[in-house]
Amino acid sequence: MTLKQQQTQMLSTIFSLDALQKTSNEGDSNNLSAGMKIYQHSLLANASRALAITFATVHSFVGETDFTLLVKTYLKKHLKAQYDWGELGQEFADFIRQQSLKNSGVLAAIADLDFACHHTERAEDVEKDLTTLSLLNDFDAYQLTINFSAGFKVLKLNYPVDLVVEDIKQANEINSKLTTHDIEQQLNNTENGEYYYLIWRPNFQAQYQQITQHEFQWLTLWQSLPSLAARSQPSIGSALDKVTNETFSIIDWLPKAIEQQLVSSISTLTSD
Amino acid sequence: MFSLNKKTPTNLPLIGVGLRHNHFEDALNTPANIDFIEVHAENFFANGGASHAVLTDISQHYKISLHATSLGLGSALPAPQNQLDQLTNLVERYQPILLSDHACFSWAESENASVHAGDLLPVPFNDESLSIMVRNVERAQMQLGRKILVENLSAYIELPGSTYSEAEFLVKLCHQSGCKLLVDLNNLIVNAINQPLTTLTSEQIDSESTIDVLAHAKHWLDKIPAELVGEIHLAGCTPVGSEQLMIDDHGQPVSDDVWHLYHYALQKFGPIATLIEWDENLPTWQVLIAEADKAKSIAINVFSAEYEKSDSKKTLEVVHNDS
Repeated sequence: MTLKQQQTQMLSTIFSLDALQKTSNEGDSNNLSAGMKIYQHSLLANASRALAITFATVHSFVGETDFTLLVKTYLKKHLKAQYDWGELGQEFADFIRQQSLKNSGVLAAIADLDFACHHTERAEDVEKDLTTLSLLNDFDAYQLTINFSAGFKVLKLNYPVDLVVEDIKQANEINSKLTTHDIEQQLNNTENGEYYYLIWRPNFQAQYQQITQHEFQWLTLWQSLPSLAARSQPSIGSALDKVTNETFSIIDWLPKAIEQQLVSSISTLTSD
Repeated sequence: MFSLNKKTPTNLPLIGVGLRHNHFEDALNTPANIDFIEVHAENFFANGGASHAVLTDISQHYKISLHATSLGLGSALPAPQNQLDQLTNLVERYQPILLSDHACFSWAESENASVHAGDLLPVPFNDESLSIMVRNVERAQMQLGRKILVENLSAYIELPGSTYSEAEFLVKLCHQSGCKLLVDLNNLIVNAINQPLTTLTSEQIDSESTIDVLAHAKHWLDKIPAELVGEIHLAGCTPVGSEQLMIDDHGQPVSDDVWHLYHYALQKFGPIATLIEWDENLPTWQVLIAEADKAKSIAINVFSAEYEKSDSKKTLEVVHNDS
């Protein structure tokens, strides 16, 4: 057996996370299995800890025991490709959605929101310079672009998760536990459909809020090019040209966006 | 913010502590008589956010050491380039005084995909492993533009196929790749305690259940040339399960055995930079710093003659300056 094969075999055994069977390579000692169990235990403990940080709301809702069970099944289904524990869990929301859990849909939507917030908090810092707002007076809208706060993104979900998350937080504050029945009650009072969320990071902590469909469409124009150089970003003028809904008003939106520190600065588009 | 002038004299080893999230605020606000802070590189792989802001502040007060845990230098499947790029960015940003990872494997192929174990898994000590680890260390050093330190593992399984002892293997690794060693003394103690459970049959365990742990660890150190040692790690460990396997969880104070071994290692290797690691059941910042103080007092004891000479020289300098 080559070293590569030996390493693949050991890794597969660890990720099986099942009761260990003796294999020919492990010799005749039960104690080798005891060692392998330590690696399995370590994998599950580390993954649970990492995902409990990333999916803090899901973790607080389902509790430690059920969360660990979820993580164990997740690890067996989605082999860990990430070397950074902070990046683990890209498929966790979809995985939850596919589980035969009561309210798995809303739990998955909460996981989507958790993951978006987590990524926003890890995003590259963006320098704020509100003095650049004066450029709005001096340049044409087709020469200017908006620089948003670190990690800003928008999300479309099928549930009003902000209401459920608020209930979970309130239940946690009084050391109570929200049940799936409570969630159903909460969802019964809301309309079926699509809910739009803005996630951004004014400082170090991610924030989110429900936004209108019109704001979602406007912000999507900017989110689609988050990492490109300034000259590749749309101008304010060209973005406004793409807004089809007449009820959206940048005059109303901009002061609010500045106040909540969603806008970090305004800059001119270079032409070359 | 605080000023820090009580650094270790130059003829004593630099003493540092591992910094974990719970101690961020203490590290920033409570002066401590330590020389450096060591952080796990992967905890700062995010592009931005609070962790970088904190580390940037801390780097104003203490020298930084970066301890990576994910390269898997013994992996037959090489680490992806973007992982090395992220580590390189971190090194360029914080200019660490020490940079290390482990003599382990973490990457392997499974179901036609690259999988990362999220752990430090052992390799057999033979020529095939050596060749792969040398290649991976050289690649890392080339990319990072500097030599790295490679740490000995605590391992709970001894893989078949070893033709060298661990110490022989690591010495060969240093000679062939130009790296140096980060000698984790707790790992030596853990491996010595666990050795009967990971290598012997049940019958052998019954007949050889008493192993001289310290003698075993000292014998390991004796095989390492002093010039190959770049850092020492000190930590505690916890016994678990009915087999009483010792787990290298860094969840206890440094054990008496490890302190004893530290004294021996300093005598053998000289004033090597030393780190207190504590990752689980984190104590208060003060307790952590007290462990660093204990390391310093052992170093003063080992190097007392030189320390006193240096101290009196400094006193004379102060008198001279005052006059």
